[in-house]
Formats: sequence, structure tokens, C-alpha cells
Amino acid sequence: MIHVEHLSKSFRVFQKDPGFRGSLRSLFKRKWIEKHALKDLNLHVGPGEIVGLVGANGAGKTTAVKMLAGIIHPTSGTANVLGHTPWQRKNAFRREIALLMGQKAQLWWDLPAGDCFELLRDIYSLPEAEFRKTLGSLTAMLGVEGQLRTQIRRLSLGERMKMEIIAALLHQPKVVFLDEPTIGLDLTAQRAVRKFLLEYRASHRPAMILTSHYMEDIEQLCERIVILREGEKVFDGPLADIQRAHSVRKVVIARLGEPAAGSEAAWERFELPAAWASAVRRTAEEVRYSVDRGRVAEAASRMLQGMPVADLSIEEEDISNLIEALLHRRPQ
Amino acid sequence: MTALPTWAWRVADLEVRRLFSYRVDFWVSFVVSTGVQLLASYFLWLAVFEHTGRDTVGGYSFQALVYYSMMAPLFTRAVRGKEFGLISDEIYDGSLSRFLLYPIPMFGYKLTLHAAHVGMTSLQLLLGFAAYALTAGLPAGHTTSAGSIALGLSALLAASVLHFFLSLILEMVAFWAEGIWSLLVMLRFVTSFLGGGHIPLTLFPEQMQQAMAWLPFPYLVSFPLLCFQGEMGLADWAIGVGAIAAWSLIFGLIALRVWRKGTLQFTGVGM
Repeated sequence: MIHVEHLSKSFRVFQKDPGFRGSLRSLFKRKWIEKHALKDLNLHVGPGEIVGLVGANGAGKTTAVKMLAGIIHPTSGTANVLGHTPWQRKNAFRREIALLMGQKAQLWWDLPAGDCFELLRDIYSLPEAEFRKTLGSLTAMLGVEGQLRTQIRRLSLGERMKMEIIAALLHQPKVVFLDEPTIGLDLTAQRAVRKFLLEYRASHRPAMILTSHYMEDIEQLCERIVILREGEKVFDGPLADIQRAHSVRKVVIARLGEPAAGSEAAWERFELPAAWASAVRRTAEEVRYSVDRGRVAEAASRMLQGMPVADLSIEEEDISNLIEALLHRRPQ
Repeated sequence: MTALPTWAWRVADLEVRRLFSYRVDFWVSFVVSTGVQLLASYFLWLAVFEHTGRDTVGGYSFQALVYYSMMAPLFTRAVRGKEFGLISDEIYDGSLSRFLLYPIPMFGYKLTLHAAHVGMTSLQLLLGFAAYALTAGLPAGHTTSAGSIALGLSALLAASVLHFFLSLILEMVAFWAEGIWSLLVMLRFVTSFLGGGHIPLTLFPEQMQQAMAWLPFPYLVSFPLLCFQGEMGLADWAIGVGAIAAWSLIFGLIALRVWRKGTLQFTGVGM
């Protein structure tokens, strides 16, 4: 559905020196720098797949999404989305895709959501019966049936985002680009949006590309992630592969019971060797150690002997830490 | 002739409803601007006539000039439709992106919105005309009739399309430059002054009048107003509307070219 080959985008960005003198100088002479927002991106996304684009601010996620949605032109490279070159913006292409930008309102601010949807019905030439059915199902899934007559600008952020999602999916696109769809939402609204997107994916099987800074979005929605660092792809694969390929540690967690009489001081002094373990949390109820993978059994054994352990568990390292490490080339 | 697509009707309908929902803005923009214009022109022309001691200026009586000075700004406002921000704001703040996603022509969408504004300002124009005619009476020699009003309004509609393409071209400079406010103010001044929005074009020097005949500006305000006042026959109206269509085609093609070049520059960056 989405095939991207060697896609790159550079911008010319105006640089102004700070202060009054800088402003004055910029009236006569301007300094421009070339910013490489995206470098040589290769990507393939199939139907029903949700791919998470992950990266720090300015990594090129939104630039990539905008190019694939046809909003901006690339500097070089090719992209084929549903058989179309996106930036040619053929109507047949635009009828089959949707882009939701969490940071930008796309609906008409002064109109009630219901009127916006009626307008979109006309814009996409949707048959009346099909439109009513889709709208009914989307509003029910997101629980916003009661807000259709309210002006968009009077809705809460969560309600507005739900309306934006409905607007993006009314024409049942085959490819959906979601640029930070849960930004600014409270936890309940975030969960509702995530649940809805999974249900929509199950029922319609669109190809989706999602960008988000919330790891929960990525973990719960995407089986596969693409990590961008300063415009370059540094990882493309299933989430689990990040752990397999990049996780050199595991977390050993001991939940503590009542210490035996006289042993308190001993376990309070308990430490694992710093060469292969480090304490990440230590309270009266729980102790967590990040341990080299090869020393997990030894760590567990020492903890069982040296502490009043009521329960012991071993977990993979937090995926968000691994991704962060990849993003910033932090040594593992 | 192809019928208007349903989305265009819907856009026009929603925009008209939105405009009329701002009742205060409708009356304030109409009553205050027309009242101020009327008072200013009344005292200005009074001073001119008293100072010169003449009965007519450029063939216009005092009453005719006051009437012209009230109607011309109403025509100017009607032709302009939406004052500013046809597309430049959306380029600046990045919200143009959504229009690039919809499977409808951008120019068609914006022209429909513009038409809704022209509809509202034309209604204001008719109200202003009716109020003036009923209270002060039309100047002697004016032959405004139902027919001339129809010719005037149809010429105004055509002129508003020409103005749309003119301002669209300048607004699209926002693809390359961030602040284009001064350009739009310039356009506003040029179209109003050279279009006959302040004083009748027949008061301009002869050579300037001849030069302006080769420019699109007289068709923006002066021509529809003269049609409205019954000073243009059907043949003159047809020639004028033909000229407007030709100018609109030229500026429409330029606008299309600028749009294609501009969207290559568009980064979608903004607030």
C-alpha cells in the first residue's frame, strides 16, 4: 500500500541573529541554512499494518507523513501510496487517504461538528445511507453522539480530537496518517482513542502510519516501529526486536516481606556487584535491579538469599528506555 | 454549463449562515462605514462646491457626487467580498494543509467562500441604496431601474471574480514571504482609487483616463456602478463583462501558475 524509496527532504531555513542589530541586519542581508529534515527514507507498509514513526522533536516524522499525504514535495526520492505519487494530489488518491494532525484543527472552527461532517459528505461524494451508517458507528464508538450540534470551538480538547478522528475516517480511507493523535488528551481520552483505532483497524484493515511521543500509543497500537534520528532511519522492525537486538539487561524485582528478627541490618546493606547490576529502585517494600542478561540467575539467587523476598519477578527492560537510548545513541 | 457541485452549495450555505449569525458585525460594518463615508463625502464636496462657487464638478452636481461617494464604497466592499486573508493566513499558519487533502479544487472552494461574502455585501449595498433613495432621493437625471440594477449586480458579480483572482495572486506571495500585509493594503488602495471607489473616473485627467482604459481597475468599481445607475446600455454592459471575463482569465491563469509554484515551496509549518 505504501512504498517509499530513498525519500529525502531539505528545507532552506532563515537564520536571524538575536537582538535589535540582528533584526536590522536581516533587513539587508539574510543568512540561510540548508536543513535536512529527512534523509534517504525507505519504507513499506502493508494493509492492516500500523507502523509507528518514532523520533525526537525535529527527527523528520511529521515531514515524512506530510510528504506521504501529498502536502509537501520531496527534494528527492519516490513514494507510491495506493498506486499514486502523493504530491501529485490526484483526487482518486485524496479520496483514499486521511491525515489527522493532533496539533492542528482541521474542522471548521465556527461550525457544529454535524455540519462539518455534512460538508465532508459532499466533499467526498459519499452516498447518504453509507454516510449515515458510518457516522452513526463512528460517533457511537467514540461516544460523542450528544455533541454533534455543538460548535467545534466550544468542544473540549478530547471531544474535538474525537470529532477530528471521525472527520478523518468518514470516507473510510485505505491509508491513514496519524500525526500525534493523542497529544494533549487526558488518560481516559487517550485510552478511548487507542481503543477506537484498534477497533477501526480490525474492521477496515487500513494501512496506518502513526507518530507519537507517547510510548503507550506506540506500544499498544504498533507492532512495528521505525525510529528516525536527525532525519535518518536507525531502526525498522517489530517492537520485540528492539528488545532482542538492543536490550542487554533485564530487571529483577523483589517484593519484600517482613524481615526475620535480627536480619534487618544485613539486608539493608545488601548490594549486587556494580560491575553487572545497578539498583533502579529501593524501598522498604520493593527492590529493583537492572542486571546484565547473563547474570540474571545469579542476581535472583543472591537476592533470595540476602533479602526477605516475598515475591520475585524478572522483566524485560522498559521499551521506552531502549528507544530513547537508540534516539540519543546513549551507551547501553 | 456544468451545474455547481453539491459541496459548493453546502460551502456557500454554511458561510452565508455563519456570516449572518454575526449580526452585530453585519450592521456595524455596514451602517458605520457607510455613515462615515456619507458624512465625509458630504462635507468634502460641500467645501469644494462652496470654495469654487461652481454648480457642477466634472459634469456632476453636488447631489450626484454625494450619491456617488456613498455608492462607490459600497460597490468596492461588495466587489472585494472578504476583506483580507483569502489564503495568505492559511499559508502562514500551515492550515492550508487540510485543503490540499480534500478532493476538491482549492480555487473553487475559495471562490465559493468569496461568493458568499459578495452575496452579503451586495445585500448591504442594496439596503444602502434603498435607504438613500427613500430618504434623500436619487439625484436628478439618474435612471436607476430594475433593469439597470440587474445589469449592475451582474457586472458586480463578474467584477468580484476578477478581484478574487487579483487578490489571490498577491495573497499567494505568502508562499515565499512571511509578511504580505503591505501588499494587500496596496492592492486595496490601488483597486479602490483607480477603480473609481473614491471619485468618479471622469474627474481624472484625460491622459490618465486613456491609460486606465487598458487596465483592469475601472471594471472593478466604476463599471458595475455605472451599469447600476443606468448609464450603460446592454451593449456597453456586454462589452464590459467580456473585458472582465478576459482579465479574469488572464489573472486566473497567472494565479494557477503561482499556485503550482507556491505549493512546491509549501512546508505546512505553522502554529
